[in-house]
Amino acid sequence: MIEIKGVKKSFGDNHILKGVDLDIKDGEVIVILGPSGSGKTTFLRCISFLEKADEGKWIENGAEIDLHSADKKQIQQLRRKSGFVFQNYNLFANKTVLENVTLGLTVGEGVPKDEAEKRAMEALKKVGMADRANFYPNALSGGQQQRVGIARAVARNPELILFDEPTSALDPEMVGEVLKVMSELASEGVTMIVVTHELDFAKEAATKVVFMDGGNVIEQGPPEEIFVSPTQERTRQFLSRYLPEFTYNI
Amino acid sequence: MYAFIVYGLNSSATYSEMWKAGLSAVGRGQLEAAQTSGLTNFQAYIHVIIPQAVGVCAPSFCSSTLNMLKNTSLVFLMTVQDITARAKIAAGQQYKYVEGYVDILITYIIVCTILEFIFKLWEKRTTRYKTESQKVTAKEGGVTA
Repeated sequence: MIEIKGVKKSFGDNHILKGVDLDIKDGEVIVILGPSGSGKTTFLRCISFLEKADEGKWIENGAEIDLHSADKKQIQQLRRKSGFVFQNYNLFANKTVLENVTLGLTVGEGVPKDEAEKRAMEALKKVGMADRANFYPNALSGGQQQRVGIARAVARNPELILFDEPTSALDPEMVGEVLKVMSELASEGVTMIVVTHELDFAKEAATKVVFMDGGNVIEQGPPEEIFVSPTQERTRQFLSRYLPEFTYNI
Repeated sequence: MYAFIVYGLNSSATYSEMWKAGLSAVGRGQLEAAQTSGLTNFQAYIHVIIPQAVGVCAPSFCSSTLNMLKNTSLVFLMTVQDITARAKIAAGQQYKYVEGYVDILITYIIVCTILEFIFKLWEKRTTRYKTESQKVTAKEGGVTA
């Protein structure tokens, strides 16, 4: 169980996050929905220290880490516990697929090379990319690169994997293959936070849906609730295309 | 001696600017990906960023090295004799200008070609990830007959 409390972030006068709270239970798949500019991505970047939050706390097993003033050691510790999947993949261009996955293990955690490669191959098999282990990223399609990106996050066995719009840069066909991998991970009980615009994925794989707008969490709950009977007007508006339609026959 | 210092300072300024350009040419995403993979910034630079920057820098390093080589003939202004100066003097003494200049022409061409070849090899090695689709490992034999 991880509690994230009161994350605030502003760029100059522009308040992106106005105090976001989130509870993450083990094995939970949390999908964050919301219009562009609502702070979803910034929230993920803040809790992985890619962006420095102005305020906010990460509470885990009673231990509290301040997101604003965490020192290098704490940041490194938290980063080792989580994986991150980027919108534009960000695979290491000078490394092969296999090296991409092993780098975090061998260099970051000091795992021996043999074992790292074994674990990497397992992760690559999971995402169906084991046959491309010696390819360089530039020779792969977007969907393949993203699957490697997921394998890179999974191989380190993190407590939590963060997905930042993993399918936004892909064409519809590739979206399918990436979402399939993600659904499989979800059913294996990997704890994930997913920022996405794929509402179908949210409906099927999520255990909790969080709706954000204007830097605040507007509403959260299980997908059955959010997608069928949202209590807030803003959520209703955003999901209008997906809500069940009622027709009246008189 | 002074010539060394002057050229050292002058070219190190140019080279460091090229380094800077090369490093910033490697996208920020690469650093972020390394950080979220659990690497420290130092490890990220060693394993990911510098290896890519080296490939970006190779062509500009090559041209400015060749430039510097040719510019060194200016040291004659401070009475240091390099090959151009020697050739000029010899040509003047024996009144054989054509031969003298053709000689240094050939020397420069040879030296520059060798340097260029070395830099090309360097560039090719460091940008392999861009031009080849996969890494050939020793395990698979590597050679296709």
